[in-house]
Order: sequence, then C-alpha cells, then structure tokens
Amino acid sequence: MSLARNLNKILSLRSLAAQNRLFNLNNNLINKSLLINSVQKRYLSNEQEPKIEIKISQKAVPHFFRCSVNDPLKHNSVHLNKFYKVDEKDLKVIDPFQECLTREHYAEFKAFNETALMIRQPAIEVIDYIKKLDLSLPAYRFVLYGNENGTGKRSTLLHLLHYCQKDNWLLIHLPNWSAVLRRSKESQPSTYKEGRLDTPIDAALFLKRFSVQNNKLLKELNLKTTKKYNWSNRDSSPEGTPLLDLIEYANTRIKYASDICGAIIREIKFQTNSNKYKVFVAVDQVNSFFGPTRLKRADKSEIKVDDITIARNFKKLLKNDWCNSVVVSTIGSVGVILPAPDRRTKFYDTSISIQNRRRVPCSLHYEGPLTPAHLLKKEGFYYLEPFIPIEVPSYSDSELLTHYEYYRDRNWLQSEDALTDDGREEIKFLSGNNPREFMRVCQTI
Amino acid sequence: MNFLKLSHLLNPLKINALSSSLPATKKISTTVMSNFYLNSLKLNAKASQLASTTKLPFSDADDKSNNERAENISRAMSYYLEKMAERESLMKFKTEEFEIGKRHLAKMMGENAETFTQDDINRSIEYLLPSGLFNKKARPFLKHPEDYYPKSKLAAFGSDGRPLHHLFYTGNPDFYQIIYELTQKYLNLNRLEDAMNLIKGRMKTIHKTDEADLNTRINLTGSVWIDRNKLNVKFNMKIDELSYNKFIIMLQKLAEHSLSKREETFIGQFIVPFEPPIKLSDIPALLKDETGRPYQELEVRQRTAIVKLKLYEGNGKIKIKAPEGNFNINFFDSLTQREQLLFPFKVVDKINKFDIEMEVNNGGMSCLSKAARYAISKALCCFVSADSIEKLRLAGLLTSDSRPKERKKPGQEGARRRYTWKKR
Repeated sequence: MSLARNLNKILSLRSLAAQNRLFNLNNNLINKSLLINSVQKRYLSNEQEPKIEIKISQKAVPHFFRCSVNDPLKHNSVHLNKFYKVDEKDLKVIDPFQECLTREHYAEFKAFNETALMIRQPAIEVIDYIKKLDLSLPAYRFVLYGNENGTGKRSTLLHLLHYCQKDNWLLIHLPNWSAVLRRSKESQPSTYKEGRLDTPIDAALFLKRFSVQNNKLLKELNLKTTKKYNWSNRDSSPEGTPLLDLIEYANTRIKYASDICGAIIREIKFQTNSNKYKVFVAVDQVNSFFGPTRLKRADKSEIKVDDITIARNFKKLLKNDWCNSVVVSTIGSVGVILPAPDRRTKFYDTSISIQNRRRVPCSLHYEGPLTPAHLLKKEGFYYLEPFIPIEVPSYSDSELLTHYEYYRDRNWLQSEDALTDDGREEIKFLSGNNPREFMRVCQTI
Repeated sequence: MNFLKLSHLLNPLKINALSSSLPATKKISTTVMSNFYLNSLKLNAKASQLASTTKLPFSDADDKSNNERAENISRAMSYYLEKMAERESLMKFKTEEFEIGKRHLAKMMGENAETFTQDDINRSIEYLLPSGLFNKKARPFLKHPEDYYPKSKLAAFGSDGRPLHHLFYTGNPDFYQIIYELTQKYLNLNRLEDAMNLIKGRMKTIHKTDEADLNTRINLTGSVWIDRNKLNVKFNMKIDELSYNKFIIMLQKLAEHSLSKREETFIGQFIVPFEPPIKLSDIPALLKDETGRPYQELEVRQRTAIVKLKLYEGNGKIKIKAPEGNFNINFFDSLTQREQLLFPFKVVDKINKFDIEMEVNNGGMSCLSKAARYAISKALCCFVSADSIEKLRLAGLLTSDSRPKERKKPGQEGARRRYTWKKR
C-alpha cells in the first residue's frame, strides 16, 4: 500500500507541472515493459487513466499560506507566517552543494517541485537589524538559538543568505562545519608551521562553494592580493594576483588549498576598509569552534581546533576587528562534539541512534539546556561577546496551520483522516509544535 | 398409670387376689395389661439366662460373623475417633497458645488485651516484624488456629462401615446431590407444564396472555451466576472448570423454563448481584488551583517507572519534568510512545483540550509512556461524563498493568537473555 500511496503522491505532484509529459512517460514505461506489479499497472496503464485533478486554474489564485512577494528584499512583518518561493537559479548560487538544510528537506523540495521557505519572526527580525545597521562600526555578531532542536535555525539562515545574496553581499558560508572536526576527509601535516594540520579537501570544498556563491561579485570587484604568498620553497604567488585566480590555483594544487583559504580570508577581511563591498558570514554550529575534536596525530596526541589551519582562519572571521560585515551563527547540540561531564564518555555524539538512548547509562546524548551560555561555554561566550542572541522558537499555532495547509496543497497528506480537523489536532499533539517533528510525522501519513 | 405403678410394686402372686377384688367392667383391660407386662419380664429373664448359660446351635455362626464385622468397623471408627480426639486436644492447646500470645502482643503494644481484635494483631505484627517477602503467605502472622488448620471432615460412613450418602461413590457427593435436585426440579416443572397445557386445552375459552407467562419466569436482570471459587467456598467442595460450566448451563436451562419462578429460592442460591466495575462514587472530586483552575493529581507506578501527573483544562501544552531536564512531548523519541499519551484523549474526543504536567522518574521509555497513559486516562475520568468513562473502560485504559519486573537470573545477562556463547 505504501508504494501505491507514494506513487499517488508523485503522480499528483507531477500533474501540477505537466500532464502531457506524464502520459508520454507512461507510454514509454509500458512499451519497455518495466512494470513490476499490479499496483503500478493500475496507475500506469492506458485503459484506466489515473484520476488526476488538474489545479492549473487554482494556481493563479493566491492562497493564504503563500506570500505573493518572492523577493526577500521586500519582506517585512506583513508577510509573516507565509511561504515564499525561492528561484531555482538563486538556490543553485546560494546553496550549490545542498548543504544548508537536512537531506529530508531537499527530498521534499524535489517532491514538491519547488523550494518554499516560511517567513518567520527571527529572520524578519535579523533582516530589520541588517537594514538599519551602521556598517562602519566593527562586525556585528548574531547568534541564533532554540530551546529545542529542530526549530528552524538553519532555514532562517538560508532565508538570510538569500536576502544577502540579493542585496549584493559577499557570502562566506560554513555549513555542516563540525563534520571536519569529527572526521576530516584527508589530513596532512602543515608545511607552514609545525604541529598544525591541513585538511586540503575540506578547504578546497569551501573555496569551490565560495567561488560559486560570489562568482559574479568577485568578477565585478576584481579583488587582488596585497602581499606575496609563498606556498612552498618553489611555489609562490606574487602581489596583485586576483582572488579568482588563486581559487583556480587551489583547484590545481589541492595540497595548498588550506593555506590559500587562509590567504583569501585574510585579503577579504582587510580590504573591507575600502567600503567597496559588505561581507555576510553565515556559520552553522559555531559552538564547535570552542570544543574538542575527534582528530588525532600519528603519535596519538589530541588535536585542538586551533591546530587545524582552516579552523584557525575561520575563527578569525568571528572576531570584531573588521568592519562592513555581519556574522550570523547558529548553535546546536546535534552533530556537534561537546565535552561530556562523565569521564567514561569522553564526548557526546548523537550519530549513535538508540531508541532508548536517553535511559542508557553513560549515554552519549546531550540533554542540557540549549542556551548560548551553556553551549558556547566560557571560552566561546567571551570570544563572541558582544553578540545579539536571537531565539528561534518552535511553531506557533498559526505557523503550524499554514505549514499544514501547504502540505495539503501539495497533496503530501494522503490519509483521509489527516485531512480532517481531528487529524490536524492529532498531528499537532504528536509533533509538539516542533517543525522538524511536524515534518517527520507528516512524512508517514 | 396408677395401676401400672401399683402392679409394678405388687408381688405377682397377689395379682389374682387384687383382680378379683376390682369391679367387673375394668377386669379385662387390667388383666391384659398386666399379662403383657409379666410376659415381657419373663422373656427378659429368659434371654439373659440364655445368653449367659446356653447357646442355640443355629444362631452360633451368625453371631460369630457379626462379632467380626463389628470388630473391623470399630477399628476404622476408632481410628477416626482417635484422630478427632487428637485434633481436638491439639486445637485446644493451640487456642490457649494463641490467647496467651495475643495477650503478650497487646501488652507489648500497650493496649487493652480484652478489646484487642484480629485487625490490631495484624497491624502490630506488621509493625514489629516488617517483612519484604514476596509471597504474602510466607510473611509472619498470628491467627486463631481454626483459621489456618485444615478443617476436619465429618465421617462419611456410619458405625456399620457403610457410607451415609447414597452418592458417596461418585467421589463428589455434595455436588452431584445439587445436580440431582436440579434435574428433578426441572423434570417436575416439565410435568407441571404438561398438566397445565392439558387444562388449557380443555378450557379453550380461557385465554392467557404472554405477559402472564413472563410473570411465571424468573427475572435475572442485574445479576450474574456465582463464581466458581465462590461456589467452592459456599458449599465446601471442589469443582473443576468443565463440570462448573456444565452446571451453569443446566442452571441457565432451569432459569429459562417458563415456570421457573416456582424454583426462585433454589436458583437464588447461585445468583450474585452484578456490580459495575467502575463506580461513579469512587471517582475523586476535582481539586482547585490557587487561581481557581480545576485540576487532578495522580501518581502511577509501573515496574520501576514512576509518573506524577497533573492534568489541567487548557490548550494541549505538555511539560515533562525528568531528571535530565524539562521537555515537551518530544521527550519520547518514538511515535508509538507519543501515541500512548494521545490515545485516552482520542477515545474521549478531547485532543489538545487539556494541559499536562508530568514528573517522570526511573524506568524505561515504553514503560513510562504506558504509566503516563494510565495516569492520564484515570485523571480524565474526573473531567468527563459517565458515557466517556465507560468508553475509556471498554478501551482497556482504566485497568493497570500489574506485571512486575522480572528478576535477573544468575548465570544469565538479564531475565531471559544469556551471555554470548564463546567457544573459548
């Protein structure tokens, strides 16, 4: 039955896009005799045409859960609790490797054939602040936090990234950052200084992302280095090489990627005084900068965050010794290595999924409060101070209602019981107004 | 009578003289009576003489056998009597002991020995000798010996060794006696019905309505048949499940007879009034908050889990206070456990209309969720109508799961799980 239900979902979604294409597809399928079972036959055969309601006429009618304004520059508190559509072209620029949100989110975007984000209070609040900021002052730091996990910190970050991309900011985006500390793809000792660790592939990935996100702006600005950089005894780049050339150079010589990464960050940071451009730094899970790592040297001695070259460089972005910049960061416990109080369990790590893990002795699940003071600890708190904490709360009733109506519009809820008022109340009860839980509950219906 | 007394006193030789002196009318009667009396005396004398001195040849063998049998019977009977006497003396000794013990206990507790009841004894023993033994029968007690010594049965045979009851050889005479009576009564009713039908047929003009028929039938509404255990206790016998079921079927048949009201007293022995499983009077009243908001408080334990619940009328907010911190419903990881909390509300059709405050301790997650479900449904009873309570009961939400935690076995990892087997 689940297969039939999913098929129904997919088919009905496709109907919104193009009906003709679907029938062509059906014909092809039948010709190639790829049908597996009777359920598919029922849906894909020519004799019994699938009952598909065509909602092309309804498409033009604005729904109350949809925002008519898709440009994030014009978003304000009037458009609260509504979904706006992100252009696919924009998304490919902002989030080229689909790292900003979770895998579940991208699966939904693919199924719905569109990327829709909810306009929520914290995002609007930060946008309001950014509009009014005096950028000649030192960097502004925002910290997004929630009292629970899964309240939508990353999606607000995506919204802010979209806004800044439209507003011609230079984007520096560090998504899924703490994975480097847990298990870097490749590591080698640094040539620049002894005892440090280079993570060339991660650095190259960052440079790639950076170049995709800011390709247009970098070409316009045509930034050049102000210093001669020596990568090794033989290789060096002279003063006045464009940054884009440096990135290309890193692609060819991945060995130097982490050093080049540091050089680019240095150049961007100290050329902001020219007031030619503004920098928007988005850091996911900023508290992992102030914790332990899982990496070890050959002699089994522990590696600190400051010993990793790119981490050291990224950490400089969080300081407020530069202007024309805004830093927005999130803090969280999921996927972050946190020092545990128990001696037997060195770290919390939620990648272990035990159903009853909360009750298992020496469990590796962090259950403490999720406020900045608890997660950043003393070191991180004083490093980031002064910062503006912004809470991302779980759904209010109206937000939950709009999300529910959106799913309903997308034919995501197939069970008839889920479409009734009682069903909605049940989903609300089971999810506890948590957006991620709401999403997961609705996946199964 | 005066005459008899006189005759008893007089010498038999003087009787004739006396009779001659009496009037003619009373002569016959007196002579007959006196003759009978004299004969009987003579016979007695003769018999005694015979027994002591001479023995008739034909009665010799019979007497011998009689004597033997009497000896056998007397052995069995004497054994029985011996046992009875033994038991009696034992009981006497034990009751004395009990009385003394009771007095001592009363003195120890500083109470009056005269008014010291069995309840007081139980209470003081629980206080003086607290015991955590699992089996309650294994815990210390002080009771009257009649309460815990097995009761002695009356002899089921007479002095001649033959059983008294005609159904003795069935093995369960009391039970089969009842069944015998039952069938007899049923047959009698059948006979009576036939007779009445005959009369009805003759008197065609008189016509009885169905309502009258109903009046002759016994009314069993509001009552149930007696439980097997209770039946065993009431009639002091042992019946197995199968014969009990058969017995109930027979009773049902008798009760459904059209004239069953005639046997109301007999059937009434086996009827117990039906008690509703949940009494509305038992449900506690709502408590009130400082702000005047009604709520209900409960504590439920299951296995090792402890749940302290407060249920308010509200918007569906859930607060769970665990040793790890404060949570909402996402304290429970899996959906199945969250659905446990949802279920009672769904039965009553009041989702998101109550606020929950829970304090949670010990236990595993599924155990906690089950305990929470029971606590919620019990607390809900105070808020909802009687119909909804019945719905909750039918859904099985008002029965607690009384299964304890299974103990860990030595040589095993847990209750059932073994250590992984390793060759060496």
